[in-house]
Amino acid sequence: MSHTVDVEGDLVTRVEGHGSIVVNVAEGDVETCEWHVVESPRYFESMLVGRSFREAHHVTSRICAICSVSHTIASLQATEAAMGVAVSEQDRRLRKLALYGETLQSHVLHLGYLALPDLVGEKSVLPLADTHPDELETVIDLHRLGNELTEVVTGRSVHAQRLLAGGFSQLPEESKLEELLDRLLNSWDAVAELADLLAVLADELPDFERETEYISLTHPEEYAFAEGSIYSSDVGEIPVSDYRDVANEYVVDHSTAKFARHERDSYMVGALARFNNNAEQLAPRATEIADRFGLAAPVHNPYLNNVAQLVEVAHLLAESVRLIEALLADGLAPQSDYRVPEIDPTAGSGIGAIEVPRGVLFHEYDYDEAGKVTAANCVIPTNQNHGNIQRDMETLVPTIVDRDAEEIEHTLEMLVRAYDPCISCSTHYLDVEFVGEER
Amino acid sequence: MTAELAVVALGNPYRRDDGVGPALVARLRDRDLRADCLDLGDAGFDLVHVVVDYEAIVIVDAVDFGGDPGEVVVFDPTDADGTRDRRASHGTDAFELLAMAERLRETSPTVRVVGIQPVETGLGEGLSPPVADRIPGAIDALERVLGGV
Repeated sequence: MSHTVDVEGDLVTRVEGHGSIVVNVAEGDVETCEWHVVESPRYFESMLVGRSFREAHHVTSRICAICSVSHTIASLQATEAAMGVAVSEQDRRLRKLALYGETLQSHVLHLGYLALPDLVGEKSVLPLADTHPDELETVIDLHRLGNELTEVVTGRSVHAQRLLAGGFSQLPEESKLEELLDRLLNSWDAVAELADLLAVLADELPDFERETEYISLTHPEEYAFAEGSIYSSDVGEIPVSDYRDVANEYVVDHSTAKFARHERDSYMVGALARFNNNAEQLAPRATEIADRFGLAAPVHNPYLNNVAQLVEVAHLLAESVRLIEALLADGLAPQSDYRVPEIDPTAGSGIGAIEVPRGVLFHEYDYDEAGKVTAANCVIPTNQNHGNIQRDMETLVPTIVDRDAEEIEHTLEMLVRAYDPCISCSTHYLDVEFVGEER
Repeated sequence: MTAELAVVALGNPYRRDDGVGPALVARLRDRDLRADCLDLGDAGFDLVHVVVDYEAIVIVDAVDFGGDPGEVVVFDPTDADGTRDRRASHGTDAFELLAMAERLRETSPTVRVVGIQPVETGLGEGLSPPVADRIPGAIDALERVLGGV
């Protein structure tokens, strides 16, 4: 039987970016198999040049509305490293809490609103209001909890205002933290419901494996999110100062977005990479969920990034509880509202490196003696995953090429979506058009 | 629950008249209303949270209904089902999110839309003159709606 399949992906023009799949198969041979990413230039690194260290994090926050707190914190870390600014233990905890809240909401958004429709055979989340109303309410409640966690700590759920170089302009009220603690402690049933649903649907996740290099942060004392050094599953620990040697960005003809590679042709970042590198440090409740799904590091099926996100939802909940209990036990050190930490700007360079929902994020700034940015470099997780999506497709497509066009389309869409690329508004990420199909 | 009634502005102020909702609600903040005023920007799932929280919601948005520039229309979004030209002017379909959220509630909230016919919705700041001129009239319409829901 000969097969000729042309998959010509139309661009989807959504806020977070554009992507499409192009696959050409002639007489059963795969001639073209490309993951096209056509990101419009954002110019954020150029926009930063000339900006004060007081403004940089407000600018970079706008890189992403889903991960705005993440970019803010990475930016602040870079500035603080450049100018030797210390952050108190209390403020480090609060920043972590904000990051956990944002990652929680992002994971739940992806799992509940974007990935779940794939598993129940729907094109979007909207029909789930009729078919899975209880589960959808659970998703909404958890998504909202993540947003509110961020809002209580930073003043807003998107584009935080209270986070400043050296600390916070305003602290959350302890009573609000107590309310959050109650809600977090009462959310375990919701996590269990989400796990129950995904457990029923897990068979819908394709059984595809391709070993790759997994890169994340790692920290000796905790499952790394807010701080740590780089860890590669191939070569082990790498200092953050060498991040450019890890994220070797390069250009391919079919994409305006850069791809990245390290020890192999490609590497993966995100929840599954974190799980593979740091699973032993997960909270016990998160490990229980991993065990339930049979998730044991190392996992080489990229579709299981969805399950790794669910595991991290449990971890983030547990860690948020632990952080709030610690903050309340110690009591928040009083400070005046609208405080701006005193910083004498100095010339220098600094790197910020944190784990954000979609993987490890790097910001690096050079400052002059007036505290103005002279150069900036931001390496975002989705860019680091593009090469791995491409290699996954190249491995996967020859194994499914005899399936019907719709199934190929669906399988490839699910693959891209499993990486949770930063195109979160798009519930139907790829509008793939099959042309000239002969079977 | 924070209040029974919310005025929700939708729209992007960096797309000219698409930002008429946020511009209008910004003028309401100093008034003594019996409603919470919320600017949700481009409608996302935050809209679902609001629908779950409030008993009545008045959405203020740019709506391309084929009217005269700046013309104001008040309608129940359930009447707009299937009428694409009454959809809001930005990409996310707020009405589908509304419908989803309503299906999750035991009792549907009262929802009304105060729509303003846009002229320009391309990239850029500032309302077109016809739309800016009609803001006082739109506020009057909104206050009448608030008195009736």
